[in-house]
Amino acid sequence: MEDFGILLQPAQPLSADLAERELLNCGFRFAGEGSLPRERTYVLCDDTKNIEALLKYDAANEAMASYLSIRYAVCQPKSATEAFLDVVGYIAEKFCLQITGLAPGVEFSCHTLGEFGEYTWEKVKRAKSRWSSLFAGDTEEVVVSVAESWKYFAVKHPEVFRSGPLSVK
Amino acid sequence: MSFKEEAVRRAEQAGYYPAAGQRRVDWETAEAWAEKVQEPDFSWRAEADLGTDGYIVIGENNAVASGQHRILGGLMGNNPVPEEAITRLAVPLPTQPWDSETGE
Repeated sequence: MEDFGILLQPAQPLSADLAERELLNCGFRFAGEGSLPRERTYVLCDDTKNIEALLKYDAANEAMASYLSIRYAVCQPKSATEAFLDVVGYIAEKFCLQITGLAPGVEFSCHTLGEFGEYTWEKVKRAKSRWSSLFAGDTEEVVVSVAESWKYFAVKHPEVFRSGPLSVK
Repeated sequence: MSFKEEAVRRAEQAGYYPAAGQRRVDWETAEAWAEKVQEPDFSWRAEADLGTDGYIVIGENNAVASGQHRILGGLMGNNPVPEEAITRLAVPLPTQPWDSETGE
């Protein structure tokens, strides 16, 4: 509930090297191997946005990309949503990728990016509302990663957390 | 029974549902976690959850706010996420069905 994200899936085989190159062209930097096999993670971060990407390599042919996942924490300012849409739009158009990972039956393509933008703004608005209501109506917008978003609000609202790694009690 | 059907059965048996607004489950990712948690050198560590996967956060009513793939993978790999790796909220959260048709 803390993030919004999508999967970019190729209809035709896509070289993982090419996909990575475009991520780097967009300003992402390599952030490390993922937790699961055949995953590499990237981050695009400055004082206006923090966008995370994960490149999944195909199990049958590791030179090829299985999909690209892009997400960001919804507690960020609108500049993060704008950057997210710019990146998704650029890469989707570059390789004519399908935008999936949303509700069942909901998909967009490089030809329907306008509709995807409208869908994203609406979903992020609702996600922001859910996030704010969890934290007593706190609508502060802060540039953080998905994991850091929980940590940041846990420090501000310790009463919401009962136990576990984020609890300060 | 498919992986998805069995995962949903186990999750519901354990009382877990996704919090409203959770992203759609990627069943391949859940399956990959089920394999990973069975590896001999795997252990659930709170600090391991601070990496790219983020925290596992669960509402007072067992609604999964974050970490649904690891919850499902742990259940299916017979190595459930231990309590010390879970952040529990003091409040309940609205839920949605697994693989909600609306995404909300």
